[in-house]
Amino acid sequence: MYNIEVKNISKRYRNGVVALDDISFNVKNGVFGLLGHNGAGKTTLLKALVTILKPDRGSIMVCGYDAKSQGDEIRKRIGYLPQELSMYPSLSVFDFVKYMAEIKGVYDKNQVNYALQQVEMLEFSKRKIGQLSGGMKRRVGIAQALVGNPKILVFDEPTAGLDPEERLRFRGILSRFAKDDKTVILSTHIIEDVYQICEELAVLRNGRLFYAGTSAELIKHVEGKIKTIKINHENQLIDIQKRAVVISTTYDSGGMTVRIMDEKMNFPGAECVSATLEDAYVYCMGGKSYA
Amino acid sequence: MRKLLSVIYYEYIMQLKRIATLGVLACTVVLTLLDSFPSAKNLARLEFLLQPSYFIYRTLSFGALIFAFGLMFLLSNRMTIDRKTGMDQLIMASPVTKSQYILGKLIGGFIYTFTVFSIFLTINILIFYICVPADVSFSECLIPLIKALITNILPISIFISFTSVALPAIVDVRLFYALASVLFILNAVSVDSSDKMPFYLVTSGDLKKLIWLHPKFPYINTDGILPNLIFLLGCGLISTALLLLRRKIWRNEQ
Repeated sequence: MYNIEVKNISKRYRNGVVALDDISFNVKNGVFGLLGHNGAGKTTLLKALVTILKPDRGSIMVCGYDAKSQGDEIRKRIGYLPQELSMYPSLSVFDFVKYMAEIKGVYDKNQVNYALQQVEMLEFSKRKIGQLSGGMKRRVGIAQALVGNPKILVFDEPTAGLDPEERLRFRGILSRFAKDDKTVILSTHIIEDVYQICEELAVLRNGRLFYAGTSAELIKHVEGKIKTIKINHENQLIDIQKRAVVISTTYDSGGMTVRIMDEKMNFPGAECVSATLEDAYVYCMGGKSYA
Repeated sequence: MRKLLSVIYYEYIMQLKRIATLGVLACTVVLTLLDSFPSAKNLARLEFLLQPSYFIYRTLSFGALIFAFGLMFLLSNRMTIDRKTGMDQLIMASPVTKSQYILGKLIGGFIYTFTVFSIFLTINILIFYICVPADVSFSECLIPLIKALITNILPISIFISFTSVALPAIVDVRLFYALASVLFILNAVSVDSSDKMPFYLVTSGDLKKLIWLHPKFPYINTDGILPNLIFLLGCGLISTALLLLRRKIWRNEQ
């Protein structure tokens, strides 16, 4: 059984922008990644999942409950961390998480302490939120989502702006949570996060679902098309850019190494290398490289 | 019900812990005492200043007015700040209803306003009691204080908290500030009179006359008290109703 079933949902905003266009996918237990460029519709989709936003068409089932008629049942089972969250600075860490727990219907202080322990913030529980660093604030945000042991966690860009150590810590928390027969939806720009912890993922492009499935299957789409070429002059790079998608360039003492996606096989002599999720993502984005 | 109590409690705590609250309270206590501290100079200027009930009456006319509008500005962001910080998304994703959220904010704001107003008046009357150069009993100070809290501060707190929390979520906050400023000026320029006072006065309307009466005019003008009370309570309740009816501020229920 799927924990989340999204069927043919569409959403058009009042300004005419189509944020979601006939999206369908299912999510089982584990960590599910949601990738897409800015404005692809990720946040809109997450808002629809947590029942803040009403889709114009389609249906969403979460833990067997229909978002149209049983929103409150869904909200009882979801922990959510929005993209941009500045918490109440005058409250202490403990009070803030306790407040969020109470409006979820959780009144047990031990559960608050447990959630803070999970994110290694228990020792800072008396500190005011206004006095925390950006990474610590994120951890408090995660703690409030974890409190009450929800069945589903929905995180919107949770690792944006975090240093590598915090990101590693965050991945650990999610992996531990997802082990216990739970589902985590992780919307992010950071492909490395998805690659490390997500079993399945979906890629949104301009409000449409471009791909839904496992990372390995997505990588297969570009297998054999990823190549590296060594060049000496930047002029050669311009020529390559005209004939293939340049994924990255690395400068070294002998010139530079260019990593390309050679869909049309314009460079048969170039060295074929194994594809990564980042290559596959560039492919999903229609060959728009960020190199 | 328990969720509503949680929203009320944390809303109250958050406001009370603000340093700005302490700042406004300290400033207005100082201003009040500058105007009506029972010093020889003030006693010579104000004929009835030896009476605790007059002291509270005067405090309501001057210091309380500044305090009231200070609180209005402090409370004006209680709804809009959630939208700016993304807290509204978090709250809407929780199993809490719109009325629990809104009423929690309003009642929390009301209890906060009533608490700090009570503290404000209590500090002032205590200083008066300690410093007044006359034989004034504690009960002589306590009775007008209680009277003021029930007859004046209660409706004033409803007006301040409900309008200041609700209106900025409905109209542009700049319009709210403009309206509040106009009301402040109207209150500030009003002169005490034994006749009926304008109904729109917040701290210096006819309700104030329930605390102290001028010996030359020892009657209460009931014609003025009711409109003043209706204005204070009505504005608060209408603001609340408008906020509850506004659909845009809450999750798009399916």
